[in-house]
Amino acid sequence: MNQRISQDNNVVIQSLTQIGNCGLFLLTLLVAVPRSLRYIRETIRQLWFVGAMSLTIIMVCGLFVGMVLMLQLYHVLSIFGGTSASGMVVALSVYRELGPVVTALLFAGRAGTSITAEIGLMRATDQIDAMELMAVDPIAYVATPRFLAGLIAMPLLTCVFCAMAILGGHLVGVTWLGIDNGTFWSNMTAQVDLHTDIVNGVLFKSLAFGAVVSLIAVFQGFATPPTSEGVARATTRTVVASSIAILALDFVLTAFLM
Amino acid sequence: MTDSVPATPDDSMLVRIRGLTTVLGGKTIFSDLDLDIPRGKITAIMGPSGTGKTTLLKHITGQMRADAGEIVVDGLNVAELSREKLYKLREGIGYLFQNSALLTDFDVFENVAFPLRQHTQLPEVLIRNLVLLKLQAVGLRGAAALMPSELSGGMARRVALARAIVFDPMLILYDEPFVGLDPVALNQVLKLIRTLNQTLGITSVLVAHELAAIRQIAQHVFLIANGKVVAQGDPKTIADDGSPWTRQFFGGEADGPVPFQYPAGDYAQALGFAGAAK
Amino acid sequence: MSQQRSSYAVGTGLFIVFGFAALAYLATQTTSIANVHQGASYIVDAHFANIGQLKDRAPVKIAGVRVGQVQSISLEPGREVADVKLSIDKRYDRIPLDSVATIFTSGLLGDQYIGIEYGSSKKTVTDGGTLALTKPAQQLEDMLGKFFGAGGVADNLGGTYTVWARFTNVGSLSVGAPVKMAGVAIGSVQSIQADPVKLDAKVTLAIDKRYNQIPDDSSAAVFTSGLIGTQFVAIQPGGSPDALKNGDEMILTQSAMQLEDLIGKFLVNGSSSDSKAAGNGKSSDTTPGKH
Repeated sequence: MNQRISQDNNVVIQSLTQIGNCGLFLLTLLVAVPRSLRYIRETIRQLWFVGAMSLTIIMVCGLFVGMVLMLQLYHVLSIFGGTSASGMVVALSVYRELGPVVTALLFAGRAGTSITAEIGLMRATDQIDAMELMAVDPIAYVATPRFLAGLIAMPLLTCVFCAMAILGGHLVGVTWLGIDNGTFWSNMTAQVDLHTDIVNGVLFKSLAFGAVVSLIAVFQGFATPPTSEGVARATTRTVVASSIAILALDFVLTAFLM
Repeated sequence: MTDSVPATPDDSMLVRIRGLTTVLGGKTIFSDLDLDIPRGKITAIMGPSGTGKTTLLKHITGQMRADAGEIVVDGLNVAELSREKLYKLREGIGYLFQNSALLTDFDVFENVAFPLRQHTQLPEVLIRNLVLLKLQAVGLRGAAALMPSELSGGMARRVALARAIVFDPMLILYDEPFVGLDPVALNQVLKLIRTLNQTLGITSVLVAHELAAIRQIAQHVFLIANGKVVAQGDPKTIADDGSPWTRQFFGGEADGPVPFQYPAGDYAQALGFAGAAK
Repeated sequence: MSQQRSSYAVGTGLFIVFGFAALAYLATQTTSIANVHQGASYIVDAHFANIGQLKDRAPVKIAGVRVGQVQSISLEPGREVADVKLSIDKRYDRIPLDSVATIFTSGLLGDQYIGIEYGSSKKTVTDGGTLALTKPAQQLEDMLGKFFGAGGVADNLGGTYTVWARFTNVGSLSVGAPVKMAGVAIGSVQSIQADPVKLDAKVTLAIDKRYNQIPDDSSAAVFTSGLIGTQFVAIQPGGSPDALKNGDEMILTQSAMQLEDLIGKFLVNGSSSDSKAAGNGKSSDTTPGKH
């Protein structure tokens, strides 16, 4: 009994320690930003890996999310005779919630895990130490470029996701279910606002999620014990911690922005 | 590369360690250790596993800070250096990892070119020539386009060596360079270490266990045990100094000052014969 | 090797361009930015007693075609009147001065917009002019209420008399449902029986004795209260001098209608005074250039 309580305490204290270390790590990352400007090529290379390589999954998922959303909305809205609004509802729900959140979750699964595993393996095979000894700062060369790449890639991926979702909604709504093309667009353009929906919804949220996911991924990569078991567990932790952080942050951001 | 670093010309010791004390996780690794590494020579550091030989190398490169004592490398106290100066110093130190530590993202050529690209703005042609020169020196110019995963252990270690010498360092630290090599690869690496030392005058520090190899190339040997230097000297004479440490280590005896048993409680008690022991 | 590096750079560049293209597409094609029209426009004032849910940049339409947008909405100090400035495309500069500006709702759940119905005057409004004739926004509740009679709870009834009526379809009308006149509950449904001979429904209504002056040619209709509410019987008074008495039959009846039919009939035409703009409902509610 006592043991269990102390274990619970341990879990709480461990989580707090992790969060604290993560925050300190963020400071280290940010301090290293000026130094990592010399490694701008590395940032570009990482942008290719975390951004461009995630495009396919983001596009496919965006398309399907848009399609299924339209299908669901059409059936619900047809009860009220409001099917003409379905394009607009697809756009609003994708811009404000689904786009940033689903993209961030996919990003955590696709890019976050690979960042953690890569850095963990680099540590396990002494590559990080080797850089240190070649007078290359691993924070500036390995951590910050990946963090920045995630920060840049997330909003772009979210935009692609949203565009694909609209396309998917159009495909199902207009091509398949027969909503009038003009109605689809005019309802959407009448209701979607550039500031609240695109800037606050898509861009701001995705930027925040990008920062959180890549921070957690890079942090877990560096904090993990450099063994194969440590790498495996760190990868799992990246997904779990990112997902929780994304959804919690989403709630906070929505409460503040709406 | 390290011309700017001041060094007293009469100082024949490149690395000077005084009173080094390190405690890691409650365990004393070094206690008041003194050690000098002469310039231009091949020095071997030996000792039972777990005595902190790799830790000693990390102290020299400034990766680890000592709890007490000072480490002076080329006239600079490592512990007092700022990050920039420490990095400047490290550019003059080559380090060969036990597992090579090649960057898996890059091919052999880019691995060797990596330090050059990071620290210089040399034109591509010059980088290419320098890299091919170093690869030729380790005999792997033909492997320039291979990825690290395609290399055997011995090849990877030679590539890592090429990378370590690309800046023509004053000091190379070899962490277990012979582990896991077949006799051919071992002799290749051995030959390289000697050649680098003789032709370029690079001070070399080896952490190794292979007695035969060390007898061939090392000019000075330190034997470390229990956090102190227990014996030192030239490899041919050190075995005959008569101390129990050297006798056990060079004679290869299972028990001696280095206990066969890891410290443990009473054996009979552990087996549940507590009553019988009384 | 440097080729490898530059291919990363090219790919990454493509990725960034692609991402920004998606952003530009979202921002310009799916937001209200798409409605900001480029051409020259002129400003016309209109004053409304109630603007409902009208917002800035809401479309201004003539015969269902977008001709401009609402530029600003402000309340005139000291008057209970909203001053709405309409920005109308220069191409449509022949709007008669006596045209009527009305606030409509596009579709059932759609946004509100301003529809302009042409008058007959030879004079046209000019930049800075005012459209004097306006109709305020009608709340959906009002419109449906007008049509169906507003919902309400039946009074405690002290003494009733019963009349009955035949309906071909009572929809989901149930016993106990209110009977309303002018939107006020005056009684309740006492029983609903299917007639085995005439094959229709015979509905008995219990009406409060206070309302004993209902003309005997009044009609009874089954309506739905609100959008998705329960059904009730509405009595629309006729003009006969004789009043309904206990046990009488109400001859004129209107059966339950599907909500879709009702709303379709009602909203497609905007309002009863909107006959000129017939057919400007949702199906033609499009923006030029979208197809």
